[in-house]
Amino acid sequence: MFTQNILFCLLCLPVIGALGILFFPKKAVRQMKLFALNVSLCNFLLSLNLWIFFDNSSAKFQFVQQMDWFSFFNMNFYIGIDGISLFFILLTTFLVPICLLISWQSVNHLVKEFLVAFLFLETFMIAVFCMLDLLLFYVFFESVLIPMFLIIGVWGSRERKIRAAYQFFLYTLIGSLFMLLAILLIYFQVGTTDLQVLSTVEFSERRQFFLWAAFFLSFAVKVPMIPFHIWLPEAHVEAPTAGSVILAGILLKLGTYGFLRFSIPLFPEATVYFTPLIYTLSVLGIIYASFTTLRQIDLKKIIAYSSVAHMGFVTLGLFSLNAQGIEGAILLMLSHGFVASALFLCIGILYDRTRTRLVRYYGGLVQTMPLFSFFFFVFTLGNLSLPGTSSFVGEFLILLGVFQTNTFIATLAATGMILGGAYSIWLYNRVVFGNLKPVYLNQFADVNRREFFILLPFVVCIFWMGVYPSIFLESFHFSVANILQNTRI
Amino acid sequence: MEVHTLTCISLLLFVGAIGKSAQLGLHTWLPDAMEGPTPVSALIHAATMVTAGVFLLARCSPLIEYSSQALVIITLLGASTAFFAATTGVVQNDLKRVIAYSTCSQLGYMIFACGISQYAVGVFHLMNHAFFKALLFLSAGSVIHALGDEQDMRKMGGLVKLLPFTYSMMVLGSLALVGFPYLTGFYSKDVILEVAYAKYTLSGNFAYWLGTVSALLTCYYSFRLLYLTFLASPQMLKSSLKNVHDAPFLMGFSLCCLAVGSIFGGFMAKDIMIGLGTNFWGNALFTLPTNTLLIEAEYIPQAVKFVPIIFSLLGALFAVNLNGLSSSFSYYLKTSFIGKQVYIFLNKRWLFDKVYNDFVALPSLNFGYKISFQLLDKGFLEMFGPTGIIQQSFFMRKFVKTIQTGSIYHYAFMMFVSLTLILAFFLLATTNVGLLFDSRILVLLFLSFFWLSEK
Repeated sequence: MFTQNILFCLLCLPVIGALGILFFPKKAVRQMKLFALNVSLCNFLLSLNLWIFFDNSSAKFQFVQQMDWFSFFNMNFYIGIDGISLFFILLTTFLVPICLLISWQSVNHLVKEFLVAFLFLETFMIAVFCMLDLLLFYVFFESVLIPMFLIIGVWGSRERKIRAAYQFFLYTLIGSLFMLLAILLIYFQVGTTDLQVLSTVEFSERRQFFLWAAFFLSFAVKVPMIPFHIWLPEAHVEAPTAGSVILAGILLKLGTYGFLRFSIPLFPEATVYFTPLIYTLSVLGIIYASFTTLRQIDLKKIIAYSSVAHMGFVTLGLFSLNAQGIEGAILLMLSHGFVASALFLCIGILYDRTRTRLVRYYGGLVQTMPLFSFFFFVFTLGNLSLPGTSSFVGEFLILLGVFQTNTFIATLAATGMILGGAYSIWLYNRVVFGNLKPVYLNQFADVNRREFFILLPFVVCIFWMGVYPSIFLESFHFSVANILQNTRI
Repeated sequence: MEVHTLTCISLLLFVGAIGKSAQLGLHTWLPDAMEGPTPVSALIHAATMVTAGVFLLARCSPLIEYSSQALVIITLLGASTAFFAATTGVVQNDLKRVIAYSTCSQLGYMIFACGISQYAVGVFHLMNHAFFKALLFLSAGSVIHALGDEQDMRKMGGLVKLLPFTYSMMVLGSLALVGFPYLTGFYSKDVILEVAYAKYTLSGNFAYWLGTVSALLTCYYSFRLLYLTFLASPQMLKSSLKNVHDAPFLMGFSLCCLAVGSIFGGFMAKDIMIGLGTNFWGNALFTLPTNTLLIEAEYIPQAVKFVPIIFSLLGALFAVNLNGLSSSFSYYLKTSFIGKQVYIFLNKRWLFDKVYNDFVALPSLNFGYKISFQLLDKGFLEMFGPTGIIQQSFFMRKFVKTIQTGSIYHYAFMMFVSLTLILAFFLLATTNVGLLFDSRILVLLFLSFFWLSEK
């Protein structure tokens, strides 16, 4: 009984929390924050049950619940998870309390609205990952934009935030328009938008091309792939720390999750046909974004562009269409969710103290903030995919998978790894080593207890996934095999 | 494209060894790493980390043995590295950099020993090299510490009476390095040169001659180092000379341990490592039967066996001569036109750094800013994206503003004219005359209103 309803509880709990916060008086800021934090932590503990009760040996969707919505039109509220969704939901529920904690002292005005927006955002994100109905997936895929738009636009850091929020919102929305057309076309052909029914439908090849391309436009903006990536640096730079963490940690994964869950299983011929396109764009993304990262001067932009590069690896792995590639891609997605979020947290910690994000003002932080330097170092190692961290496992498996399909692309992607090392070490060198610059900055407090306990779980997770990834991999062996079987490759 | 897979694998693994063991091509990090503390240099940049490349090749000997092309390339590159590093070390002025280039050169020896399939000899040289190179580095550290962090050799001198213990250690290390008979280096270095000759192939001969010339140069710069640091007349400030003190007990203890290894290590381990018919390696190192050379190396001409020793003596003589006895001649040599070019070429590490900076690093960084960021991201993609749309909507806004006059007669007229045109086009489309008019012209007319309004 409990395990049956757990997904619905996961979805409802943040909403109930958000509605509950609305009843708090405006002055009770601390109580509101505590309440929101408690709600999100309860959600996290609840989601751990998903992992505990998950059956590793079946490829079927588990914890399935179905509620009638438009049952006459065969569009129902149909939720369930398999091995792939499981970890994304865990990542979401893990990151939201961290975000609330990191904005404990930096979000001071309109706190109630911030917490409400965040909890709604959490619900929408969990809903995206567990929805088994195509239309509702689209609805929640788009709904994620609204709280995010508010968070960037209201609690962002500079005046350019409005423009960045608009750019983020409109880019994603325009891409998704085509996806809506595609969903309508699918519905008119099949008569339902239930994913499990759609997996059995054979679309004609021409129709598959169009549908795949429409889905591609939507997901490519989200991933983000070159050349649709320019919203990402803007959005990241302008967003508050919590917004950046969620953006990098979860929202980027929505695109690649969409590829994995919808584009590849539903349109197999089109997937094979468009694979060269994806390979080209991914490799371009990796190399081009890495070169651009080398010349950036804003800390957040550096990590934002490096996210583009990592996501290039992910799409490369997804479209290699073998088990190593896809599992590596999923693992890299999870790992990037940890590493990039942790890096944004570190930058947020610096920003809280000094109110600047330009690299030239920083230097010699190891002398005054040694603990912070240690954390930053671990996350830098994760960013450059050092063996022993989770990113290495992901990237290695991806390269393994891609090498079997196309050796030239694998070579180019491997050179992208070199560039990854270049910009990560360059950034770390400039910020942490060298001389202090007291001419510019004189705030040198090391991480306080709250920040320490925010950063610690990330270190643990990165090394855990890097040294013993099998715990994570075994949950999605069967799901990945199922997807590959579906595509009849 | 067909490639011999084993060759490809061996070469790619060797690229890893190039990077790790600072072979030619990816060697630029080793001298720059001398900025770190000396014990770190002694450990990783002399003995343990840089030898990981040699270890990789030895470990993968079952793979690379079957690919003769890869072995040739390994030999050539190793020999080139040995020669390159030796020539560059000759004119360096920083104490630690000379020793760093010496390491690079000896790594070249080890690599080309592996290239001619003598993995045991390569690993034996690795072991011996660890002893005397660490000894050299730590003695250098002692000197630098004594002089208050002074690393430039031209500002040292006359320390032989002030730092006798360090001087003896340095001499021991240097003698072991140049292969002084019956010290450690002799048992591995000379064997490498002998088997290189005994290979009788082009690459083996290349390696032999480059290795021998490098042995000359090794001796030259080792004795130059000794001379400039200890035996020359003092070139430093009097204040630093006052505070000179020899190594304390802890430093000296480490130096002693390494000195014992430098003297006896080679002799003790010679039979077990490279002795004929030794059982030590078991299955660890694999050599194809056609490549075993140890017996062959016994039968090379006697003169060839003496060449390294003679060249080393020559090198020592040159060193003492050019730096000490006839230093005015060497000054004249250095400032002559050709001499200056040669000196600059060698001092600037064969201009490798300049080539890498100007042809690899700077263009990449330029690409990352000018092309991918300015031209594409903030230029092209934004033009076709938000900025372009915003600019277009400015134009359209002006046009739409002029149309919306507020006068209902204008609106009625527009509606009438448009209705007429639309009806005309679509009705004409059904008749024969209408085949001349394509209704898509309507779309073009519509769009032309926007382009016409741009001023």
